[in-house]
Amino acid sequence: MDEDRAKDDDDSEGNFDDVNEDKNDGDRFFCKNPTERWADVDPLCARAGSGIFTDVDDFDGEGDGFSPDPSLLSLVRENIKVLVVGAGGLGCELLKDLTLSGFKHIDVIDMDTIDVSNLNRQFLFTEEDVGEPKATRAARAVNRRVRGAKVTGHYKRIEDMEDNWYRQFHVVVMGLDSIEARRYINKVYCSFLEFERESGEAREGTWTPLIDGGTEGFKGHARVIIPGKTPCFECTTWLFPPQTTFPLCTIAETPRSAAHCIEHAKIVQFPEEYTDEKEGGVKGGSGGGVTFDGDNPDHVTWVYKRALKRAESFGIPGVTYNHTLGVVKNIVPAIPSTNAIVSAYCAFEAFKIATGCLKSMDNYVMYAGSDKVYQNLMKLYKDEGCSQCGRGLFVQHVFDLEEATLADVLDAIESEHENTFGKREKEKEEDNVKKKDNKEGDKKEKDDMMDTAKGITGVSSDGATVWMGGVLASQYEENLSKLASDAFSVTIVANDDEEEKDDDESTRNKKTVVEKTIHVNSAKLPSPLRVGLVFEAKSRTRRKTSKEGKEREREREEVRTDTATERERHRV
Amino acid sequence: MSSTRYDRQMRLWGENGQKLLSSAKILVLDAGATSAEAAKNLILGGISQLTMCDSPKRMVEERDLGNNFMTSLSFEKGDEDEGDDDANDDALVLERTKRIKRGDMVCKHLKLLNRNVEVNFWEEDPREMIERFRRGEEDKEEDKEELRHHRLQDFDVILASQLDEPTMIKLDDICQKLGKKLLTLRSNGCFGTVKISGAKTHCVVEAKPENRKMDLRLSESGVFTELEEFAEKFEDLEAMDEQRFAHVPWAVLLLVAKKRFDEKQRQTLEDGDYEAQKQFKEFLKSMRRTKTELNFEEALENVRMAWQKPDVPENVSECFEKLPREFRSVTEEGDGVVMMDTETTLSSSDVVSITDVGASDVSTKLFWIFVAALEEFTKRNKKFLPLDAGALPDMTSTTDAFVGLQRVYLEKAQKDQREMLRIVKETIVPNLKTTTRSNDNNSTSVRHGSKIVDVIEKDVDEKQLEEFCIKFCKNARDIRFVSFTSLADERDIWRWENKPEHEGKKAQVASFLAVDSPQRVCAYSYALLRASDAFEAKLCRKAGTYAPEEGVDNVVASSGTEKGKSMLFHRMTSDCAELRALVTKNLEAAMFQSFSTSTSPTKMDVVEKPPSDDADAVNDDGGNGSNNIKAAKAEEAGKFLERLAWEVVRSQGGEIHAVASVVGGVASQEAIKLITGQFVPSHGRVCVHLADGSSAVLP
Ligand SMILES: [Zn+2]
Repeated sequence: MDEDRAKDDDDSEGNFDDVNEDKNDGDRFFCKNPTERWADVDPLCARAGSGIFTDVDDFDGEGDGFSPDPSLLSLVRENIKVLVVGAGGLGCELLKDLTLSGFKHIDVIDMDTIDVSNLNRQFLFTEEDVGEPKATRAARAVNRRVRGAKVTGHYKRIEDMEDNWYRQFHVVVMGLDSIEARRYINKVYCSFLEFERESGEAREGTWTPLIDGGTEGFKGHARVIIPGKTPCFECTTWLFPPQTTFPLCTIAETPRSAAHCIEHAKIVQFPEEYTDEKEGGVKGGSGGGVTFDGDNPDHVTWVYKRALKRAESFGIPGVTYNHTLGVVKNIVPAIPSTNAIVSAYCAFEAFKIATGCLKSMDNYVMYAGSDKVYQNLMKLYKDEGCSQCGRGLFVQHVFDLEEATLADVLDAIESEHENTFGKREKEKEEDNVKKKDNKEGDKKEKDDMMDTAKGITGVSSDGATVWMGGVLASQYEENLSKLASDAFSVTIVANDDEEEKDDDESTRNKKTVVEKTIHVNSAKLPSPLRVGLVFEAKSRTRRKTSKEGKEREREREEVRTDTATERERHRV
Repeated sequence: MSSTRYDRQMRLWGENGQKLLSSAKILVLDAGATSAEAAKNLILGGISQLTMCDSPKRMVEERDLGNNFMTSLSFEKGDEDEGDDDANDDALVLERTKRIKRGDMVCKHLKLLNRNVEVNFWEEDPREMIERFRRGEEDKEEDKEELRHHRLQDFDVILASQLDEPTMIKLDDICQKLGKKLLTLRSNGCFGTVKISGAKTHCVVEAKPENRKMDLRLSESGVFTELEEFAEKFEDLEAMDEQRFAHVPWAVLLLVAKKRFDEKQRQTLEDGDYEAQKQFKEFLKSMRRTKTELNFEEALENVRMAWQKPDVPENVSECFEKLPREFRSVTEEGDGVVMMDTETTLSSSDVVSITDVGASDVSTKLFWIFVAALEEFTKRNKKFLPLDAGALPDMTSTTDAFVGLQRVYLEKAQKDQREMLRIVKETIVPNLKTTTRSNDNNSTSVRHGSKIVDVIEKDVDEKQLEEFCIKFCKNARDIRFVSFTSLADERDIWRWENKPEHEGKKAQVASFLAVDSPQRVCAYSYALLRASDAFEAKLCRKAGTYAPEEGVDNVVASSGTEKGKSMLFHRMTSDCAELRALVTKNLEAAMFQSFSTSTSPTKMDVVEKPPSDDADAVNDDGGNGSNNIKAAKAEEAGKFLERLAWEVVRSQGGEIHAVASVVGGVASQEAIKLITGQFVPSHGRVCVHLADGSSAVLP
């Protein structure tokens, strides 16, 4: 038996140097006979397809573009890293489905802790887990159940992770309930995109497939996004209807429904009148007191009571505690079966992408189960002018790596924009008018806020403020005279053996020219824009000295702490 | 605690739905991945009891650990410790695991999901169990002692997974006799399917559609006098200050404006009269003061409501048509008036007894009583249904005006509810009793008629009846009647047998099979699933699986030899041919035709039959050109079938976890709809194909 194992270890690992060394787990055992345990999925990897799901015409039993290989599944197991964003209802299902599809190395990130109301569908948790972080508990539960699974949980905000952390994954599966979080992940992975200068196509290897699932009650959707190739989340924000918000005057003067009263209690009364007895009578409101927190039962009860009183005085029925909770937390109903359906679709798409055994779904599937069963496979289309996955503006101007300041870059962008996008701006304006009807304006504002928070390089909407990785927005004057290469972390390395993480793809191709993609928000531009810049080292190749590196790191740290406080302020 | 735990789902089906769920007993046949997934979702939802039936001879296998989350490497050891990862130890644990019954392990894991749910393991091979129940009562003596307490009638819904078609048909027969709802599940490679059968029908009061239709009753004068009186208070628009003027609710605005318009124009608005609508819009616009009043904007958007005529929606008239025989005599003898559309469409064969529509339980009997009352109500109220006050949309308005308007609608709704209750008590029930006495020539009808009356008089008290009445009236517009095809009928349809009663369904199937149908992958896959069952029955193995001694590597030529590879290719190709041969000739003929709406499916299915069968087949009147197109389409369809068969052979009919999870998810959604009586379950066969994400609901 021991001999067998040794031999098999050789077979499965032979060609790969970077296999996980930590193999003292159940997988070692199962590797002895992978076909037995994975007998249900393995045939798809080991046997050729018919071509029916790859659009290949000549069917001869092996020629559909997919090369079957009996060791494919073990290669996938050892080499593919999957990121699961969210460890909630979809996340739990996803971890189960992914590990039972053969994936082994999975990271899961979630900033939430477990609540009793999660237990009706988040089956990896029990009553004992209430109050504990979702991500780590979910990881532990799956690792215990599925031998060999290596799931790592991160009890973190998605904004807390570095770009390089995100770069390590081959497939990303999103099991989120918020549009903002989806936009954020989409943005991160779109920002990794680079484009071929000649063809304008996304450069091979710079995209990471994103798979997105979502549910509401009996309804759900699953979709596959290959940034730069298929429509990204931002291309199709129209899919999400604008949130219903009540005009403030209605809430204040002519309330007609229970929700109006609840909103009034939350938005108007709470900041002015709430006093927290426990905190020694701290007053609510913008003065730095208590901000409404939907998770705080004291707050919800307070709002409920005030809303009820208000409703009674107006003769409006229907204010209950449960309704209050639903309104203030914007609760979306959720059931386990829908999560199961959507997650399984997502996990199988991840499996298809990782193995190549079948083509990806093209590209959005929806399931609606409340009125009979309605399913639909839809093809969404890319928005060619998408601010996230589009190629954006390519600034032909070549900047001197050692001379160009941020001000130079901004000048170049503006003039380039006028030259090439002058005509398009008009179309965009028309678009914007349309979009405003859909309350797109609100989203844009949030978008801007998100940029500030992350510290992505850009120009703020007033056109005058500049912020960038490592530098504060308020110091824009100073920033304008800074070296652009510093602001954008552009470095050119002299030789191949020195690894430079930021731009390794482009530096490998061209030793003295670096292309850098940045995002720019500006009032002068029709929409947030992706801008490709070209930097050239005129004199000798510049090296990143350790001193500079440290300085940059310090600056980054500064902005991180700053944005962290910023975020705290938003949340509290 | 439990209401917090179930909060997110109770926001969908409410306390009542959860109450029904928490008393539901479910039986699941088979303990494989698909069943385990369905069971998991139902247990999480908080049912009362789940019993899982699996063969005691079926031990946990290694492949269960790869596709079933409700198994683990040794249950006793597994979940508690995590540090002990020694490989040698694992080998021992695996050996020990393989000595555990699969059903036992799955049940133990299921139990951990929700401690409020009772989980039982019924140790019997599902196939033997079905045979045992089919033999019926007389053989009861032979039954083993421990199995006697398991009775199918104790369960509310039965789920059966991964059983072959003939076995499922047997189970379906049993369930039909018991009036039990059956869900059959299959995961086969990338294809999965779920079908409801057993009880033939299902009635839904609370369909909970996403968009409730507004019934504001603005068009008819004299029906809703309370509203007209309310609107009169707003007649003097000119005297209002700006604030009040801009806050007259649009429903009232429409009424006031229409009255003025009618007086001025001396003509009434005709239904769908575009010109009148346009004029009325202009008239409405002329009444504005600043052109920015929101209430006028809303009124302009809803101008059509001013002459929205009362109607009985299709789903409701369908319920009227299906009204069981016992009630039919009620309505026909009652006052001699029969709804026009029911009279014309009803043939005597359509009229069934209440037992035929599966009305065994209290809520179904109540449903039909109230459907009968509803028919009567619409007759008395100019085709209006009872008002649903909840459908009143929010309107720009002052608080007083809107709350007042709400009250007017609510009071009207309550009035309608009282009228419905009166019809039930004073017309429907007495008539049911009369028919019971007078209608001697129809003894079954008499018996059931009195049984139905029993419901009112014995099973429910006054308060429950009132509650049901309110619920029914609120949802009257959305009541649904769903009927399910039995598995035996479905088999005959897919065998393309010549049965006149199936022609309609066959035509629908044909449209799914057509070359350009988006549901083609699923329709063909289902045909191949049936063929795979036949394959397994014939050859005692699944298509695509080969014993090692046959010289074919079971998965692929992993040793890399060309010989092994070509051997596998050869074997897979011959399995494909076998599968294709098992798709019945008639169905294959149907597949190869591109059906257009003008061609009748009966004509198509005879193409490959001997000419003596049908003379029509010979005189194919299509020209050469259309024949060529047909031939090309047939060839394309043949190729498609061949390739899809290859995918079936490729996957070895495996139970892939992701597919099992989708199928289990769909099945548990449907089961919840059946249990809660809310939302609408699917009448057809739900199919998913994860290879390309396509799907279909086959007729
Ligand atoms: Zn995009």
